[in-house]
Amino acid sequence: MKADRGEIASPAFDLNHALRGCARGDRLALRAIYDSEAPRMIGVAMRLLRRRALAEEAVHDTFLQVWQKAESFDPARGEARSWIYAILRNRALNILRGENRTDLVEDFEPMGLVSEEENAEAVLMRLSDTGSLKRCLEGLEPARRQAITLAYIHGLSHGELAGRLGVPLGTIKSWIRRSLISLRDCMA
Amino acid sequence: MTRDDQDRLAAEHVLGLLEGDERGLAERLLASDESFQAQVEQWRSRFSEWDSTAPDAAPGEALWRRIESGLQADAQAEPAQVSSRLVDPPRRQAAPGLLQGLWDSLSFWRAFGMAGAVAALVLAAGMGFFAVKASRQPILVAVLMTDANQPGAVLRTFNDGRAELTPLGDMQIPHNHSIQVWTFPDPAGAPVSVGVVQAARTVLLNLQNLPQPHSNQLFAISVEPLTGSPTGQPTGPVVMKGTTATAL
Repeated sequence: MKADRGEIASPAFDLNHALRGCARGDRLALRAIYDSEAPRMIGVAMRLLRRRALAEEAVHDTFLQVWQKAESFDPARGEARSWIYAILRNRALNILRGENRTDLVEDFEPMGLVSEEENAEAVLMRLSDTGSLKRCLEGLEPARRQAITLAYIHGLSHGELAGRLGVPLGTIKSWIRRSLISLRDCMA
Repeated sequence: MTRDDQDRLAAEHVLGLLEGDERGLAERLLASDESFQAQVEQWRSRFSEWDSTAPDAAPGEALWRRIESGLQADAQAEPAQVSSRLVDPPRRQAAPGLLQGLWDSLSFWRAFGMAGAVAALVLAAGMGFFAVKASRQPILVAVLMTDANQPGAVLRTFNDGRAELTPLGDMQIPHNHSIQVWTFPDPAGAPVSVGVVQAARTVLLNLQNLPQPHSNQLFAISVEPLTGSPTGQPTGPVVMKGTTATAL
């Protein structure tokens, strides 16, 4: 798919092209998306759902939705990559937040109930120096940075963040809101 | 709603933080409001850098095979829809022959058969759902009260030997600590640990190795180090306690 093009193929370009292929019913295009994105997608889903089997379930459902909705993807309204990951995050958050709540509980092992959580500072270190997210997160106080990072990558709710960080619920809510405003101003 | 409110709603939607009414509102706006869609898209793209920090996990070939068979099921369902769409219009013009036309129509019988199969599936799923519901009727329920006499958590035991603890409101676990759930199978004996909890969410407790819980059995929660009490007995303050009652 990329071999016959002379120009430098950026990831976004490839995904746009592959989504057009999916819209035409080309399974090889879906497979190409799978080959390039599935490992990262499982990683993203694992951070939210903690369990491999649930993460694969979310990725499975995402690929079926990508296949069915590829026709409706409009490159003028956003990037292909963020379109695919939005479907994945929606699916994973739905699994996390409700519909399969009992499944989450079903095979619970009392001591090892969650895979080791990632430290927000370690995640910050892994962000690209060239992107603005890292620079703008560094402008936040560490505790607020931690709250918004854990919300995104582990899907923690306001209540879970309050418990985790040992601050009242109202404080968490205002931390998040203020962090969002300063991130928006910084990344604009 | 001001533009700032709407932007905050868009960002919290992307973070996955919205609950209740706000969650419904965001979903409605996302389906109908172009300026909201643009705000959501901006936040997705701002936060997408975080996705790149996720560790890769190599997918097995089995996952692709499952996806592919999902596509096949999808493809088989399609031709039936297309053919019924194609066959429909002429039949409408020939009203007197409608019944005969339906009788002879492959797509009608195909759709009829499909409808029957779908109804059977719905019925089967429904029965399964109620069977699961029935087996998940709790036997005993305990409301654990805090020091301030506020309900802090609900504990339910089921007839398959499992028990669930559901925190109420915004249960707070002190930073770098866990809460540990204890019970007294023998009212005069020592407490026995049934689970260590690090996150305020519904968790399953381990009662399998204990005698069948009885009504009026005491459950208590203490604050402990992250991995639970080092001594096997509660070491931190007891923050909640309650006794079981028969669930009606």
